[in-house]
Amino acid sequence: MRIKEIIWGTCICSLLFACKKDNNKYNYSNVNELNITGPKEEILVVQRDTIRVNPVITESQSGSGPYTYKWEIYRSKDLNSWEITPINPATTSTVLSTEKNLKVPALAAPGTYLLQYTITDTKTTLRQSVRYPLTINGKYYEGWLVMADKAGKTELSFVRQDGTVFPDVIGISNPGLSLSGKPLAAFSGIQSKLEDVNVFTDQGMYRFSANDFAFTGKSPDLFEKPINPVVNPAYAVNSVNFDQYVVSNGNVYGTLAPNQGIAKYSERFNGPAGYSVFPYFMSGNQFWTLFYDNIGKRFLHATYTSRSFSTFPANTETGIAFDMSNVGKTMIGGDRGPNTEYFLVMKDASAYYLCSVLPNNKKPAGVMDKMDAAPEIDKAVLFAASEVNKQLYYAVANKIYLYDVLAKTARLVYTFPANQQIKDLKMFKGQEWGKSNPLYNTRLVVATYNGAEGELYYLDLLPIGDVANGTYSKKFGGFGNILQINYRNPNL
Amino acid sequence: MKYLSIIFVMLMMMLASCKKDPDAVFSGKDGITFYYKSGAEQDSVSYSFKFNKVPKTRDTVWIKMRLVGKLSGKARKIKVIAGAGTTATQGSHFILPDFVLPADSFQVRYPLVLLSSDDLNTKAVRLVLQIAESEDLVVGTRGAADVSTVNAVQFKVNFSNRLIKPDYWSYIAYYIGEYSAVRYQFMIDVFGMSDFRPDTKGGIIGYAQWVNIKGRLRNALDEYVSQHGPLLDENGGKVEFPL
Repeated sequence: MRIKEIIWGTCICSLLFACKKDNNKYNYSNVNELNITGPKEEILVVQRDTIRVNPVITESQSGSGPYTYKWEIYRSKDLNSWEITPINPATTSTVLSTEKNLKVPALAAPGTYLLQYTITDTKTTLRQSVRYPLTINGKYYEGWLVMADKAGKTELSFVRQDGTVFPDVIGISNPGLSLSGKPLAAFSGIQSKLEDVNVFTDQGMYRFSANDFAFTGKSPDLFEKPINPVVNPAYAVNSVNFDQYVVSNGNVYGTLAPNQGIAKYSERFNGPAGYSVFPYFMSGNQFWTLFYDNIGKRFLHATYTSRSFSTFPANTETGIAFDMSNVGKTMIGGDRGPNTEYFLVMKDASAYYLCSVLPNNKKPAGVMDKMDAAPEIDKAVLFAASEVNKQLYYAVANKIYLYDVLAKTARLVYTFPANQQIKDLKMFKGQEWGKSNPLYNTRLVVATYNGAEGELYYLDLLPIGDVANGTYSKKFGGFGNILQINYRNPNL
Repeated sequence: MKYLSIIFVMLMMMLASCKKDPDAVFSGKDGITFYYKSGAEQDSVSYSFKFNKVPKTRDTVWIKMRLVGKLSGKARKIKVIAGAGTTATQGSHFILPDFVLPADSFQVRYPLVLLSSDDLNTKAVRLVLQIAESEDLVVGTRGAADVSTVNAVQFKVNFSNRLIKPDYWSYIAYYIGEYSAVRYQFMIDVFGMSDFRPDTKGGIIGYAQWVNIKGRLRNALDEYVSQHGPLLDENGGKVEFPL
C-alpha cells in the first residue's frame, strides 16, 4: 500500500514541478494591413505591347516594410482551386516582374490570364495578394476575315475590331506558302484550346493559327480521305466543344475539338444513301448536330462525337408545321435568330418559305410560312438574322431587304449604288459561348464589289431593324473581289 | 518492496531489449518474374495465326520478364514450364525454348514459340506459362513491384488458327459493339489490320480515332449490305456498328 502512495506522490510532484511562472515577455503589435488599389476592369493588351499597372498602396501602419513585390500570371486551369491563397498557389505561373509597378512587354501566348500582385512585408513576412483579369490578344485578336479573289489569287484580309485593316495576312505571315485553287471561304474556329482559321479553296482546306495566321496544316493531310474538289464549303464547331465539322459538296466530315483529342477529319459522315447537306450547321441541346439534306428534303441529326447521321421519325402528330423527316423543300439559306431558333429560307416548285427549327426543343419544327410578301426573294442567296428580333435580312444585287418573321412581310432597308454588288452579308454576333459585345446584333456587315474594288461596310441598325441614319457607319476598301466574310471571334 | 522489485526488473528488461539495429541487407537467391504495366496491360494475351497477312506456321510471342534480385556478370538460366490450366500441347502447339537472362541485364523478353497445327482451325487453346526454379534463378516475388508495374509468376497465352477475341475487346466494345468473329473479321477487312488495341491498354488508337473508326465501319457496312445483304455473325445475329 505504501509503495502505491509513493508512486502516485512522485507523479503528482513531477507534474507540479513542471509548472513554471510565465514571464510574459511578449509585445503585442497591430499587424500592418495593406490596401491595394489597381485596375477596376479587365486589363487588355495586345501581344508584345506593354502591360502597365501602377497600383496605389496604402498601409495601416505607416513606416512599415520594406516590401518586396511580385507580379505573376497564370491561367485558371493552373489553379488547384478557385480560391488562391499563399498555401494554395497556382501550380504554374510566370513571374513578370518584382518591381512595385508593372511595366513589362506582354510576351505570353495570347489568351486569358489572371495577373497576381503579391506584396511581402519583409519585417513580418506577411504577404498580401490581389488578382486582376488579364487578356493578352494576338495581333489578330478579333475581327472580320475578308476572303477575296485578287487577280486570280486567294487573298485573306483582316479587319480588326478596332478598325485596323491587315491585307493579305496569310501571305505576310507565311512567305512562300501558296494556296492552290480558286478562293472560296474562310471560317474561324474558336473554342477552348481551339484557335484556328480554316481557309477553303476549290482544291482543299488550309488551316492557320487564328492568332498570327501561321500555317498549321492542310488537306489532304488533315483528312482521312481527300475532299477535293471543294464545293460550297462550311466549317462549324458545336456548342458543347466536342466536334468540328467541315462541309464540302454536300458531304460532312468531322473531328474532335483539340480538348477532346487529336485526329484527322473522318470519312464522309455515314447517313441515308445519297444525302447532300446544305452547307449550314445548326445546333441545340436536344439536337447537337443538325443539317438539312437537300436531296432527301429532310433534316438529319447526329449526337456529338458521332460520325453518323440519323433521320427523324415520321411525324404523326397534328398541329406541327412540318415533318422534320419529310420537309419536301430545298434549302437556299439561313441564319440563327433569337433563342436558338434558326430561320431557314426554303423553296419548292410553287413558292418560297420561311422555315424555322428549334434544336433546343424535343420537337424542333417551328414555322413554315410562305414568303409571299418578300420582294425578289427568288433571287436571294445571302441571309443574316438578328438574335434579338425575329428579323431576317436578305440581299439581292445591290439591295438589302428586311423580312419581318412575325409580320411575314419584307421591306427594302438599304440600297448600294447600282454597280456595287453585294457579295456577302453577315450580322455581327457572337457564338453561343464566349465573350459578349454590346454591339452584337446591332450591326449588319456587308461585303460588296464594284468590278474593281471590294469594300466592307458596317450598317448600324435601329431596334426596328432599319439602318441608322440611312447610311453606313464605317467603310473599308482596297479588297479584291470579295467572295465571303466571316467573323473571327475573340479567344476564350 | 515487492512492487519496487517488479518495477526494477521491468526497467532492466526494457533497457536490455534495446539493441542496435543491424544493417539490413537482403541475401538470398535471385529470382525472375513476368511483368506487365498496371492498367495498360494484363497477365494474358491472345494470339491468332489468322492475324497474319502472310500465312505462318509458327510465330514468336515475346513476353516481358525481369530480375528480382541483384545483377550478375554472367548469364543466368531461366526456366519456364507449362503450368496448371494449360490445354495446349508442348511440341505440337508450342515450344518453350531454353533461355537465359543475359549478363548485367535486369530484364529480358522470353521468346515463346507458337505452332500452327490443324486442330487449331477448330479450337482455341491456352498455355499457362509458369516460372520454375532454375539452377541460377528462383521464382521471383509476385505482386505490385512499383506504382506502374506488376510482377507475375504466371502468364497466359490463348491462341488459335481462328480469329480469337482480343484480350482488349471489352475496352473497345462501346465503339464497335460486342465481339463476334464475323464482326472482327469485317473490321480486319476494312482496315487491313488486326490490332485494334486502344491507347488505354497499351495500344495506339485513341478516343479521337475511335470516333472516326465507328463512322468508317458504318460506311463500309452500308456498302457491304447494299451488295450482299445483311452481314450475319456466327450466331446468326445481324452485325451493326454503333452510331
